[in-house]
Amino acid sequence: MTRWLRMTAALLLLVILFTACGAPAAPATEPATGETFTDCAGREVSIPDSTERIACLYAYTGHVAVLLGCEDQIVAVVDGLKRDALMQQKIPDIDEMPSPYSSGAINIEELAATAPDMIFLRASNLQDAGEMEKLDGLGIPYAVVEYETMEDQMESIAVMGEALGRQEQAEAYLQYYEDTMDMVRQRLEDLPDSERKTVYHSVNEVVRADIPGTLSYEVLEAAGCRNVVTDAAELQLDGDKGYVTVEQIYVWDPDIILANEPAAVEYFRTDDKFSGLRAVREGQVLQLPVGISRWAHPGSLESPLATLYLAATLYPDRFADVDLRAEIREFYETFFRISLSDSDIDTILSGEGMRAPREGADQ
Amino acid sequence: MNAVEVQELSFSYRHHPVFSQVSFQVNPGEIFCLVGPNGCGKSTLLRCILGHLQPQAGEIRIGGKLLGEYNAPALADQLAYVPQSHTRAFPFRTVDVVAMGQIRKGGLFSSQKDQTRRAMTVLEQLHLVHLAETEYTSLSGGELQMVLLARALCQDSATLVLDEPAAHLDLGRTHDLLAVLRSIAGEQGKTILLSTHDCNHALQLEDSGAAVRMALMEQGRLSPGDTPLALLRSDCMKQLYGMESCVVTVPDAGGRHFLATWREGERT
Amino acid sequence: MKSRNKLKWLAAIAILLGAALISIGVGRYPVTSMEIVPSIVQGLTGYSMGMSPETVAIVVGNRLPRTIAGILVGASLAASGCAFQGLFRNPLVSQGVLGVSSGAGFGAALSILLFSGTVMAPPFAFVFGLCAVWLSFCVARLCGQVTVLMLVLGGTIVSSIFSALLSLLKYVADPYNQLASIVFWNMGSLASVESVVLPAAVAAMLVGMLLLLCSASWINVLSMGEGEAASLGIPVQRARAVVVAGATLATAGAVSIAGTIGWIGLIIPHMARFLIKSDNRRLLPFSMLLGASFLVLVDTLCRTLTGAEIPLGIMTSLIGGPFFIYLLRRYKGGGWQ
Repeated sequence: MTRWLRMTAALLLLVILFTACGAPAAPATEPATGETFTDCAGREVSIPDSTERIACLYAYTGHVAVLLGCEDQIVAVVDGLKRDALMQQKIPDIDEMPSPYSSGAINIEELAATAPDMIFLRASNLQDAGEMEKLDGLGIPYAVVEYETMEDQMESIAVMGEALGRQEQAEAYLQYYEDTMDMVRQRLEDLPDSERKTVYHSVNEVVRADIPGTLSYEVLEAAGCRNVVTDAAELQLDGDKGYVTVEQIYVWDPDIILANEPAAVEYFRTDDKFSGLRAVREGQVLQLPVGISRWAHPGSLESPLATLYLAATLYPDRFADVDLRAEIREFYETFFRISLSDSDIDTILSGEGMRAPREGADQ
Repeated sequence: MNAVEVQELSFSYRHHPVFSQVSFQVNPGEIFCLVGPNGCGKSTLLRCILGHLQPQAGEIRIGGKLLGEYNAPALADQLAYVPQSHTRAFPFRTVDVVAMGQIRKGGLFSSQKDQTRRAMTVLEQLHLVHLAETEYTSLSGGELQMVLLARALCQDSATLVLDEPAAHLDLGRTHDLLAVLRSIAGEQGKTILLSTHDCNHALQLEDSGAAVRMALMEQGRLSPGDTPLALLRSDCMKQLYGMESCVVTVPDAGGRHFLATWREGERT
Repeated sequence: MKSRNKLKWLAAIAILLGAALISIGVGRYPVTSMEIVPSIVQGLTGYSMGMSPETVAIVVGNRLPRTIAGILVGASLAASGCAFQGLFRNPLVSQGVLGVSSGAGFGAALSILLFSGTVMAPPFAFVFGLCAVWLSFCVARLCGQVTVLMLVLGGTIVSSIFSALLSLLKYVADPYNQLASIVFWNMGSLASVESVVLPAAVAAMLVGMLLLLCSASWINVLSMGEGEAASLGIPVQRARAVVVAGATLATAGAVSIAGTIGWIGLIIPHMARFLIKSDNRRLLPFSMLLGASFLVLVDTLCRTLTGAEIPLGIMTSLIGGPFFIYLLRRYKGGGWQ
């Protein structure tokens, strides 16, 4: 009996030894064109010959890939992407696609099985050096796509354009981005501080606020809002999320409450906790539209459109000539090749049903 | 009608027999002593009678009724129990511990005062009033034994079952305890069933005027119940323990004492 | 003696009232002590006392429910811990040690996954809490006699199994909708008390505590040991079942609205025993008063120390851990025999 045990153990050790020695020898040399680009983390990444198969392990990169017209090349996604109604429309088989990243860890084997030519992810996908080593071992080029601010976001779109050889598409969107932001800025330039509305922006959850220095904060600022949050120290930070208390919202006493989640809007409007808030009593709890992503969300690609929408909604007399519905229709037609019906636009504006809840509702 | 009647009782832990075919009766008002060496199964027998353990065979009748026919409070009317050892988990007040004897009578909304009053009466009887407010965790072993007896008395049941009540007591306290038991049996008409490893307890109880019977337990067998003197005959003891023995009367005191002698290797 | 006891009761009640007032009076939004009562009157009756709608909503919509929840949760956890200590005859056990809390926490989290909301949390927490205490007991019984050491080991095993299952749920949970609430469950907090679960949870806590109060003298007798309890004339099996059910029900209700908050069930009965002695007829209600005050005060600290909320569980562990070391020292390991 013990002899068998010993022999099995010895055999096992041998096997482990061999595989351990064998592992580093594996990296396949990818056929590189010799060209490289610099990703958002400052790494030099070589561009593979073909980018027929791409893995998007960060939801935002999936959105950008579609923006760049690469929706048919996506072979792996994250679960969150599967719930975007417009993503489902662009990639009908998205539901069956593997999602090799969940709850903080990349499933390397599942990722390898999708045989991608290029992987897009964010730095927080890689928890530690070990994970990065495993990824390096695959020999597939991967780009870190990451941003905080609006400027960074524009840069990240350019980076992906370069990686996927879609510089033109990226350029076009960035041009629209800049033009729109300029237009909004010009129209609000002379808006006195006293007329700027104070706004509390509930990000997905009622007590999750904007963090200063992030994209969503900048979007609100550009749209002429005074965010009630003035300092990140007022928030309890949990990763890239910042939380407040209900009472803090009372202390801030915002003119307007923005929420991107219909359930959150409902909660604000109906729960006793919030019934004393001036914005609630004055009916100033507004639903943010949801398109490809939740507008004005820190992870949203549609920031320029969101800025324009918000500015035009809060200061209509300064944007009297802007037909928002037409802008929206054109935006999705131009950049996402989606033609929206009137009722589609209503749905986007209502924010309802654009992100399929798996079960239940956000709060 | 017998207070306790045991017929052909057998008990074993898993496949290890403790005793078998044990029969005896305890008459009302008498003190019945189960005498035997340590580990002979006395405690197990008592715990079967109390319903804590389930015997494999045999019958137990309490006050004429089968043990199984009693529910918990009704059985507590018949039998009160003084355990050999007791683990004190929480520092209850002594008077509260004694009052637990009345627990089965307390409904949801009944007064605690009656129970406490009854407990105080019993404590007075046993001259333990000075301990009433003390935390019972701070009592000595002897005091604890008396308090547990008080709790059993407070229960107002017909029969007291005591498991080695003198195990932790010195000579003087043993005497006090036996005196109390005699007066309980004599004056209050209670039946007492007790186990002990010392047959002198039976003799002393009888000397003090109580109606005493005893039975000897050895290697899972129980002798028929009889008076102490009849069972402690030297031929009887020789057969049971392989020892020479006799019962002597202590001069002046008039009390009797059982003496046994043996030499190394002689015991069979 | 009598009057000193009366004083202790009055003090405990006064402390609870004081804690409740502090909890309602303190927070990010300024509410003066003079505004509390008028706000409550205006909020509950609708009769205008001249309070601003903000103040009324803060007091009646936010702080009052939270304070009441804190009182109930604190009292439930303390009563339940007290009962488990009596039942298992040891001052060093509690619902946390026995795995009941983790079991109930897992049950509540599971119900969120299955029913996409907290509606079914109390019954699930109850059933899995019962499972946990039963499993702990079974593990302890594996080696014949149930010693406290084995019981604690059993509880530790069961506790870690349910914690692992809870972590597993986090993987299955939808990160956008359910994860946040499940994580919150694990840490314990009064911040996200949802109104849908409130009636069932409150009922569970009240019924649980009532069962325990009614069986207080049974718990006394049960702590004498099984055999003695039976001979004293109580139906041991039924008494045990009632106490376990009551204690688990109270814990399950508390867990359903506040998550797993550790240590209260362990340390509060101790403080109470120190002050009012061991008789459960007095100890249980006194523990409830202390537990309620303690939780309300700790919760007030949690939501005022920083801009956002510190989970309650973190705070009670910070206080409870050192206290447990003190207890071990005091019992010199004696409670573990």
